Amino acid sequence: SPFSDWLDTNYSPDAKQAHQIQAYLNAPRNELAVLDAEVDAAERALNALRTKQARLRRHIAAHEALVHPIRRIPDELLQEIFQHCLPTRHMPTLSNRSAPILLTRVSRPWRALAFGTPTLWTSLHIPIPRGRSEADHIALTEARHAGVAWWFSRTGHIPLSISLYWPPSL
Amino acid sequence: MVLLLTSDNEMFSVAEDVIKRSAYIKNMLEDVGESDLPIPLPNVESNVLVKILEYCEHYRGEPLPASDVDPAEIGDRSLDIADWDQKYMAVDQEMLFEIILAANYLDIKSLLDVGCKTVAKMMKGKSSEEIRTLFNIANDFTPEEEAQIRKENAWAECR
Repeated sequence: SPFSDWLDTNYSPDAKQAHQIQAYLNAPRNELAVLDAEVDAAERALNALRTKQARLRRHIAAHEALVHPIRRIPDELLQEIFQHCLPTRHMPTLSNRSAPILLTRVSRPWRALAFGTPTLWTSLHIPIPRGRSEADHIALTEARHAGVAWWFSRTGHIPLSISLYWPPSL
Repeated sequence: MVLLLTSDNEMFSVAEDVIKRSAYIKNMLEDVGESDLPIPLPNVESNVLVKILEYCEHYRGEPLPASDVDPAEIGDRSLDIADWDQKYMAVDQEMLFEIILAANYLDIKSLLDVGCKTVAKMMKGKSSEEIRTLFNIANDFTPEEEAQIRKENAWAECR
């Protein structure tokens, strides 16, 4: 640059020098505009490739899912696996985050199989709910009652095991 | 020695006391008696049989479980897996499920139990979404079904 001595200093060019600087910048500004356009085009091409790549990955994954080895496992073995998913240190609870309810939320076939396996539902830990008020307590108790009824509707005629917990203040 | 013929036509010659851990083979040997003919295993490929034989060889000499006793029936519901079994089961999912299928076909209850426990342990602590990802399972619930599930299980989250 013809102005390199002034760059990165606090020098204040006069009007003529400012005009010269502006004139000098025409060429690099034009070059930058061309470069910006090239970068935009390259980014659009890259985005198009990434979109195509993601689509292809989804296509492959969808087909790989079809041949995943768990799909070859017959129901009776899946039921055995489900049985091992039950809590081992306490009885199952009315929780969406643990077996057996968790298993019913994975897919339709798993839901049907879990519901069709009475031994998953033969034991239950029931904490007696504790409401902040009488009305709250009644509402919670009714909800818990509905949950327990829903749970044991799965068991058929198999003997049940139940543990109950009463909060100390009740 | 017992001859075994896998689905991909590989022949294995195995010591009788090793393969008798398989109740299927044990019963067959008892029923048929001594024979030079190979026992066909149309449901087991050679790479899986190699793995199964590794298990049988490791437990060679240990007492066979009573054939009619299911570990589940004697209350073994813990997810504890012996150290050697854990290392043995450190395989990819394809082989893990092949071992489970072969253990079921060959009626090796202890191996089937370890296989099922291994899969259950993989699921432990995971959400339904994480389980789907783990086993490449599609979420095939319709939005209406998902709404119904949330509704019917609303009581599950109340404390």
